[in-house]
Amino acid sequence: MQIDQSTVYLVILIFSILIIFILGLFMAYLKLLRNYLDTKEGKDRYIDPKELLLRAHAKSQRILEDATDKANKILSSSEVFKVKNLDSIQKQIEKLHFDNLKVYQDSVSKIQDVSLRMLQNVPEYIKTLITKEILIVKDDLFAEIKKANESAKDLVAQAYRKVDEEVAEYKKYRMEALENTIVSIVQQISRRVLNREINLVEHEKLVMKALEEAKRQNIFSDENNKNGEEAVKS
Amino acid sequence: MEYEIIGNIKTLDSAEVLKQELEVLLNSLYSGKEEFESVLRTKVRSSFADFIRRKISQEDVRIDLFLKDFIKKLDSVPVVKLILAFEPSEETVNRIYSYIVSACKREVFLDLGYSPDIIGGAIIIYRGKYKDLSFKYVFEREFEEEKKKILEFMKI
Repeated sequence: MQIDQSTVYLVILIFSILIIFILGLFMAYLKLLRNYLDTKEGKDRYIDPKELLLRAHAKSQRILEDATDKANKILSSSEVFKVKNLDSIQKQIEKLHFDNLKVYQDSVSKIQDVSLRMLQNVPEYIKTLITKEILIVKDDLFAEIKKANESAKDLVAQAYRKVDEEVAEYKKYRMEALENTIVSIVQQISRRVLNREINLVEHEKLVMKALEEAKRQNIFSDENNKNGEEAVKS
Repeated sequence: MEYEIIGNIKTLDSAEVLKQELEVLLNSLYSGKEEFESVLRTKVRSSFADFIRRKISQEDVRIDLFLKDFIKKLDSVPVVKLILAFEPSEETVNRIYSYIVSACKREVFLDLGYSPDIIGGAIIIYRGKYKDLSFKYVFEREFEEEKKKILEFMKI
């Protein structure tokens, strides 16, 4: 007899479902039972709040007392320590102060010595340095002064030369103007005198002389007309 | 001598006056004989009017041609321009004229100018030729040459 494979799987499935269902029911039962027992025991374990308060108060009272005792012990021990060590602390402080003072004084005296030595050496050093620098500056200064002196001399000489030239030129110009003025004045005076002094007879004589000269130069000749321009220039 | 009257004209001014008279007469000829006579009486100098009348009286003379020739003759006479330092007298002008005519060997008109600046002597301009023979020219040349001496003299 052959059993269908699918039927076997189905039976196995149904069986598994049943087992899971039964387990679930069993678990629910156990839980219900525990709740019941807890509910029952809870009534018996209930503590009165007043009693709890009293217990807490007593407990806190004990803690406070213990703390007070410990504090007192600490205070008393610290008082003893204070009394015992105050002198030594004072002494230590004084000692430290004294040591520090000494160190400070030593340091000061050392610094003083060094400073004094440095200060004593400074003038010599500065003197040397300054002397050296002064010598350099002195040389430079002399060179510059010499250069400036020469330059100034050149400038002054140039200026003098220029002024001399300008003066000479102006003098020449003025002298020429003056000479021309003098000649012009003399000319005018001479002309006036001549105009006044030459009478008609003398004028006629001068004209006749001019005509003679013109004749001598062939001004009146027709032959010369061809070269008229040359005659004009003469 | 047809144009003997020209010999009596010495200056360009006189020649210009004569030329104007000739032109007036020539113009009047075209306005008739009466007009010509009127002009001859009123606008021409008497001595020149007599000269014209003598010419008209000659039978072989055509007065219009004579007047035209006369004007042409006047225009052909060369002019000697003289610039003088003084205003000459008539006698002086005559002497100058005579000298120039003999020098030129022909009739000329004198054009006289007056410029006191030239001091003395004359500036002569004849047929394009110019000659400064004035005292001014000599004077300035001498002054230029003697400038240094004058200045030295002035310094003293």
